[in-house]
Amino acid sequence: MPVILDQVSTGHHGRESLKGEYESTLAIYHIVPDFVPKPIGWGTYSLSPDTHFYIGEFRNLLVDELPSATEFCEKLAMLHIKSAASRQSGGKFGFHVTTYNGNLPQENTWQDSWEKFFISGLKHMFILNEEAGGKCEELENLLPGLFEKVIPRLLRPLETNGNTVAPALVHGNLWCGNAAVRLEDDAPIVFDPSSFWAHNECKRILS
Amino acid sequence: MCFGIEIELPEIEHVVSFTDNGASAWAKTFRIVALLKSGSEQSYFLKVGTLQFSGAGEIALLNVTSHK
Repeated sequence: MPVILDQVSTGHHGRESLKGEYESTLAIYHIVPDFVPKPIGWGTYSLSPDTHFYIGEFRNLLVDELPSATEFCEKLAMLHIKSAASRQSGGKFGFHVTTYNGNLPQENTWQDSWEKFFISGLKHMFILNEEAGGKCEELENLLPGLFEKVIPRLLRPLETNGNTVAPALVHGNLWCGNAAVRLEDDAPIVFDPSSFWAHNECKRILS
Repeated sequence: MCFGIEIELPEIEHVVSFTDNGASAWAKTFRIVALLKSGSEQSYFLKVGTLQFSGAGEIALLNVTSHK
């Protein structure tokens, strides 16, 4: 059964984004297996080296139905609590591969503090913003204050004076379009993650 | 298909169906139902990356029955 896809070259970003989706889904699957459809793999079409794919188990989902708030939050809290307790990231914040929010690569380089990771990720987003929209002097003038005063004042107290942030695995792109319920039992399911080890209340850095 | 990681897929007798499961700005998704050699059916979710759709010239042929 040959299937024709009107598919164009996706290049490096397409490959990396589908790899990121696989690694993110697998990371969540390892912590809370029934919170995501089981991932199987990712790769490249043999006959089309620029066409990349992600493959997983197919689940029948009710995508127009939001999960029950109680069940959903319990599952999400379980992901954060169990991952933080596992200390799999060795106390570091980041992720072992690049992940994408849509077509935007996220800065996942490992950092030893939440403040450093947050600043590194946000700086990366401002670089992407400049690449897409050009320089903005007004914005640039605000950045030193943001990075040297605002963020340290807000985040440093979380990690000083005996306080610590335990890195938790977060979904990384959690919104109602990336959550649904399973047809057979109404259990909450999330998909399209771009996971990283973060402060558990972080949705994503910015995109 | 060439996998980016080592995986083990069960042996497939034949593909029962291959259906469009929706598209976004940068990806298309499909549902593949396969009859396994073991006699059971398995459903797979396939997402194919597309940063943009040009539609012209670049056609990928995927022979889903002989991807092993």
